[in-house]
Amino acid sequence: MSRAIQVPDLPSINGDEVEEFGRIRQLSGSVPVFELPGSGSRTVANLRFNDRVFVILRLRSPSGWLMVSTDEGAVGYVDQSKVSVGAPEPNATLHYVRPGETAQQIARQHFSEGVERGRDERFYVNVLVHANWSDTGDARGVYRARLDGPWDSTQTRANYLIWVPSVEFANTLEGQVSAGSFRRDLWNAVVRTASEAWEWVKFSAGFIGGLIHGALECVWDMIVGIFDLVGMVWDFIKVLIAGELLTRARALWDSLSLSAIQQAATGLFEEFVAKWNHDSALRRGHFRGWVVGYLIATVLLTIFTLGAAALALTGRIGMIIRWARSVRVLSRAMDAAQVSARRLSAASRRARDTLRESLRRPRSQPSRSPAHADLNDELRAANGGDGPDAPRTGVGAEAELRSPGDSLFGRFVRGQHLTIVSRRGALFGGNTIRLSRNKTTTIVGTLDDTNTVARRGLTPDGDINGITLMGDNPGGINILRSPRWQQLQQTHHALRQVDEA
Amino acid sequence: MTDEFFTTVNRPWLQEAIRRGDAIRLVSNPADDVAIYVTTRTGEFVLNGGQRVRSIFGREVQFLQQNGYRIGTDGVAVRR
Repeated sequence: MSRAIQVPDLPSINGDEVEEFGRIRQLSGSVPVFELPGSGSRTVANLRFNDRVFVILRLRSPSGWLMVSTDEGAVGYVDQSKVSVGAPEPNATLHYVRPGETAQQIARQHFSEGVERGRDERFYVNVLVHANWSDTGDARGVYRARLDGPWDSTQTRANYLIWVPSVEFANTLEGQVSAGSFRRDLWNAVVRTASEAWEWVKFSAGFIGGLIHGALECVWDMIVGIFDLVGMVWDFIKVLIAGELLTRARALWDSLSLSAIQQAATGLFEEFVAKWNHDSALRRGHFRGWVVGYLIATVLLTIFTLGAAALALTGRIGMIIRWARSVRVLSRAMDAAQVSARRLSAASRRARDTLRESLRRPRSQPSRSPAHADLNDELRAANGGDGPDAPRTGVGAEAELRSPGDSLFGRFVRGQHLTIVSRRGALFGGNTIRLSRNKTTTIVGTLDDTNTVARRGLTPDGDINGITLMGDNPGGINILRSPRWQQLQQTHHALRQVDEA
Repeated sequence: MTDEFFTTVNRPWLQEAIRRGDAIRLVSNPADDVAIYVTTRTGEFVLNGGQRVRSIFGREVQFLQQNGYRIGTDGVAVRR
């Protein structure tokens, strides 16, 4: 029976939601974004002056830190003294006012491309004043006595940082105000409109943060107690998420359907629909990203431990894998994961072997999310695990195998059997190949007979389904006439010609 | 005919399976001479010095037997 995973909610992180864009305010050098609050942890990004961050939280404990996501998708913590929050619009940048620099000079520097008849520097000086106006009278780098005062009364303060809205944003005011001055309520209306237009940016900032957060949570859940492995496994998964998914977060999101995700996630996440449809774009984005990140990491971690054999899994993980396969962006990430899993470094291979071995044993301590046990049990069973609560029949139900012409040509249960359905006669020993749950079964035969088996290792579309592989394939088949056979033949073409002469 | 393809490709693959402790299952008949020896397209055995020439499958069977495996009628090779 499925148990629900405790989904971490934003308020459960010890801080206050900010949900605003900010820019790095340190003029020179780099500003590190740390994996954990405090300067002792790993640096996940280095930012420079005017780099944008989306500020998710202002932490209460430890204080002085902001949880942010960067435009490149890194999520971490940055010293709040290094960030100016409260940008009037997401593309606004910071300007350092030099001694003697006038508002008109600043306007000319930043808005020269927007200046035209009826929209001159006076207009942009007013934009600067509004963008930096303080109703509480705080000293600002650009100001005047009255907000609706004449533009040429505007003054500057040296060594202050001021917000400079983008030309595009400033130009949305055109036609609504005169070049000389405009009212505050009009300014506020434009800011609101711009904010709504940037709803996706807010959503995506939460979504990206959630992707990372959920994926990391999954890795911790799966690798219970093997703390040394978390870093290595996370490195494997992070590369794929950062490389393929974060850069295509919009495409990923556009290609996800709620019903499909619900099917894959049913029973795993508490208050799924309420959180999925939360009013706050950030909260909504964060939860959706968390769920998707968790599911993706489950898929990638399964591929990491099983290689292509993961694709043949049934049960809950099989369902999640099929869901991921149906989403183009995720399918590409899975392909990349398969390639990566075949090209592991020696260290990563050792990590994988250690993880496999650990998965074969019953857990010595509970998952961080106790309800995660279902997925963990399946992964352990798929790796030939023999824990007391692991399914005894391998992974899930029997899979029907279909030929490219869509006729039934096999049945498979990992760790139990592969049955060849064919009208062309029987294999030696019969058409049912008994499979060992904990071992790889190696198939030996003539070219024709092994090829008969090898064909069951491909989907109707010609993709590897993991039933037959070349090499270690616990619960499945090792076959030399694997999908790698063509490559092998080419490599040894000359030798083969000699042998067949 | 040389032994090179077998020694370069098949034997290391089979050695690795044995080392790993794989279950081994034959899907072709090791008692069928047509499978065990090389034949021409017309079905005649290829001879080398008057002797039949072992096919790749024939060599794999031989290799398994040399490594102590006994092949049952169910195709399962069991190490003695």
